[in-house]
Amino acid sequence: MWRFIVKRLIQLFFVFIIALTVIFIIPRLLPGNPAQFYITQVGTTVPMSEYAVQVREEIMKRYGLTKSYAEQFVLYLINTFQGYLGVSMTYFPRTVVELILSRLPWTLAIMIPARILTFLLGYFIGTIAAWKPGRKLDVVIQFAGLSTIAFPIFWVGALMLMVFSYYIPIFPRGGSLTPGVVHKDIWSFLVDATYHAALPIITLTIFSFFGEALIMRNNMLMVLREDYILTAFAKGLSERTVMFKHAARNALLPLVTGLFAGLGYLIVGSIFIETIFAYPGVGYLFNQAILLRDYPLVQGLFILITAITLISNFIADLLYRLLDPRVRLFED
Amino acid sequence: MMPKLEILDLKTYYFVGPSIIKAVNGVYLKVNSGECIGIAGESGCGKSTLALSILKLVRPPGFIVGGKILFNGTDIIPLSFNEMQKLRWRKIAMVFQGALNALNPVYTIEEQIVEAITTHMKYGKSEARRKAGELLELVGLSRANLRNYPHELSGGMRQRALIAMALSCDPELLIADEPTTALDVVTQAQILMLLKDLQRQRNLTLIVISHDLSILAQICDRIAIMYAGKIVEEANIRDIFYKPAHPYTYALINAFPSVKGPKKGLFALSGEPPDMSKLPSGCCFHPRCPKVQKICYEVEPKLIEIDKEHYVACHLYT
Amino acid sequence: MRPLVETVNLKKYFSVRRGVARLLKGRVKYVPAVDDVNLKIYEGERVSLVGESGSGKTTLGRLLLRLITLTSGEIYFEGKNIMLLKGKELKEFRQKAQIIFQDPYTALDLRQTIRGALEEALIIHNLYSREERLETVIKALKSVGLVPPEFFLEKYPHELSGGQRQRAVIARALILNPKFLVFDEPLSLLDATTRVQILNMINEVKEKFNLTYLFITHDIALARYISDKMFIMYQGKIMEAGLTEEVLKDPLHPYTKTLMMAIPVPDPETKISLPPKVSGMDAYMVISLQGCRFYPRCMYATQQCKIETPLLKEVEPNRLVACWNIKS
Repeated sequence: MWRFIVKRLIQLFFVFIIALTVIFIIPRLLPGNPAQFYITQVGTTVPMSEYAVQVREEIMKRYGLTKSYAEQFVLYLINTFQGYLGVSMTYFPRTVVELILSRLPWTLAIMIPARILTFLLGYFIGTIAAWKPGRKLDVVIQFAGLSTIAFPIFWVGALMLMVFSYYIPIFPRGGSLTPGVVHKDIWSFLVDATYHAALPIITLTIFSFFGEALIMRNNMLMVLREDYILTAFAKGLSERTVMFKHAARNALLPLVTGLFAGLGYLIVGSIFIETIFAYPGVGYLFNQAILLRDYPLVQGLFILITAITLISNFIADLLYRLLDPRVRLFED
Repeated sequence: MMPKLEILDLKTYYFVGPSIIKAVNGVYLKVNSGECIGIAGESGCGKSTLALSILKLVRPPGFIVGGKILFNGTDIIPLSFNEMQKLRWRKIAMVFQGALNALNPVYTIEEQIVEAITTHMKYGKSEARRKAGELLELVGLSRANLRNYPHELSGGMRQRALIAMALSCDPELLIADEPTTALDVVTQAQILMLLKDLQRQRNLTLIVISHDLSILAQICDRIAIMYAGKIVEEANIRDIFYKPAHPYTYALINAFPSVKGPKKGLFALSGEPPDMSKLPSGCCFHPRCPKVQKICYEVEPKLIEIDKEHYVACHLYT
Repeated sequence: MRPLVETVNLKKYFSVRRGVARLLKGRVKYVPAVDDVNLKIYEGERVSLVGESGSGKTTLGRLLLRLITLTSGEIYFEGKNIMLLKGKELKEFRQKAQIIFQDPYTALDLRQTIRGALEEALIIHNLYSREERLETVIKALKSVGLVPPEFFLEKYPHELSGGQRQRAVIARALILNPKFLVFDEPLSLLDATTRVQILNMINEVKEKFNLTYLFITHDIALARYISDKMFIMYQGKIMEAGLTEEVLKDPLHPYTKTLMMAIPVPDPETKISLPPKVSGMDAYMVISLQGCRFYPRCMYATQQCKIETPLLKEVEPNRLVACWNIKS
């Protein structure tokens, strides 16, 4: 068993290195250099004429861009594996790691509940829809599933904001906490945070769960055609038992692994929703970093996404093997 | 004595778009207690649908549209879903064809057998597990196989496990639909011998469905020949093979050449089995019948008794 | 006289990562589908290759037609090594050696009419002029019993029944006047009554076209009616070979004996039985690559059988058996 795990981890490691290399190369392939934008930005605050060259050199030196590519690359790798992802340009002198870590909990606070809710709702509603195919619930799921997949999340978000925050003022207009309020204890903090996280979570869930239910429904219909379902009915089991214990258990497998394999999307997906809701999480940070060409921050975020994606795929793979007895646990 | 199962004019149709597939089109069958009866026919003749109909497991777009199925004298067609669930497995059990997929791949053999037991019998979990082990040994597997998943067993072993599971609630009637298809010759022989032994030991009423008359010759007491949704001949096993009355029966027997004994010429029936949505008029067999008469085109022959317990639906005998 | 088809130490091993074959002894990473097969088929012979699933019979059939590559050994057709054929010679080989597959539905191009399918065969091999081609197609349809031929010319495969489709497939093969045909279980997907029709048709046609063929099947009864010689195959090896009627009347190899005991016949007075040592294993489970493959299920097995693989030897005139316990 260990041979398999070690083999997998080595493979992951190599893929990670390749990804790191690509992340390193791309900004340097663009015209100019990674710090160009920043230099220009700084140039608007300082009269550039006399000190232009010095300022430029200073910035380049600060971000290590004066060294040779080889040196930069080696330093980059060493630093990354030591957990140092550089210093942000726009939030100077805060480090990239510190920035990300400060925002991450807020992102997870909306993405994780949303994902779990999507999964659970999708599982139940999808199963029930497949139970009586062609009837009302099924038709609704099919239609809603296909349409919501087509809608862009930021449009849905903007719509939700408009309806539930402006026209019917139930939820706040955005942000993670009420501005200007100091919380005396943990409870009032949690209440306020939840109040602000509610609409993003609801938006995300509504946006995704129809699609999830549709997938579950389709899997269920395929499974229901199998012979062992006939056996289950012939055994005299109740419809509910057959649906949930026999059919859903099989149909669920791709959904569970999809859940884990899509963990990388938690970060990427948060970009749109946080921007719409002005919610200061990692996604919002990502958006800003890109707009302001804060390359150490962007680079750091890419590395984070890569790492999460690789690890979650590994977990998803293991999980599938655990859940499906037909697949041998520790073999290719 | 009352027959264990009696089917009267059963009709099960599939409604697919504009066409109606009359899979079971007026079947009459009588099965006595403790008997082993075989239902023989080629693909598409409706025998699998007949088996599913007995347990009322036909799924839309298929429906039972008429007739009676008398089990121990009571018509089961009007029974509700819940009433049927009490009958299923407990009184009437079924072993499906293609044991490849008849067991749920994500649960062990033990879990699936125990589920059957605890659903119908008042056994506790550990008692049920013990009984499951006994059942496996009964069919020639070992208790260790309880912990296996279906895909870990070979085809023959899965079929045995299915039989064990089918017997777990001590049913009165067992229906085996193509129990030996896709199995190799030796395993097939073992399964057939097992079924016969079990039938005798438990005084089980057994219905075996197959396209292969040779295997039915091994274990059945009586055989019913099915064609185009109807039973065209039903008799005890010696009459069927030595005194076949219906021309189709004769052709079907000849379609299974023998490896032993003298090499006889093979009589080939012309034509193909009919399209079940566009059945011929009169006797469904008339387009292929070597002994066809004018009346066969117009009038459907009814099953009549031409000899003791020997029934035929053919105008040659009316 | 030189045989039409000959194989010398033919081997085809498939490598598997995780096996369909449950390999119990040692971590063997390959399945020996065809394992050192030596056979000869002479012109005019109608030979059946009988084996159960997993015996390698289908693989052998495809090897003979160079549809798959071999692992080692040689295959000769008309004296020439078929793996070395190129260009024109290879094309000639393809015309002279044809195969009929098990599933007629997938053997035919569903978007081609019957006429198109048959004509294509002629066009590929550049036979006949355009006018002559239509005539030839009609003649071929008549010979396989698809009459009236004009009715079937413009039909598509899905408009035909299983039996008609298989007839069309056979017509397509015969239209090239091949010297050698491999039938790979062509009747097993057909209904019982249709099977007999096609069987009779093949028997009629074999004289007319002077066919030499290898008929692969798992059904010994069928093999009896279609062949004069029989090969019995088990786990990649030929276990017994001889004249069909003789092998059936007096089987020598323990496996053949077991088969004959276990095969049911449509006669209620003749019941099947099994020899004492038959275990619950299935026929395709490869247990060991050493010794006789039938060892685990053989009632006569000795220690020698376990260690040494028996060779196919002539124990009587016209009878070959691979078994240590059968003396000549």
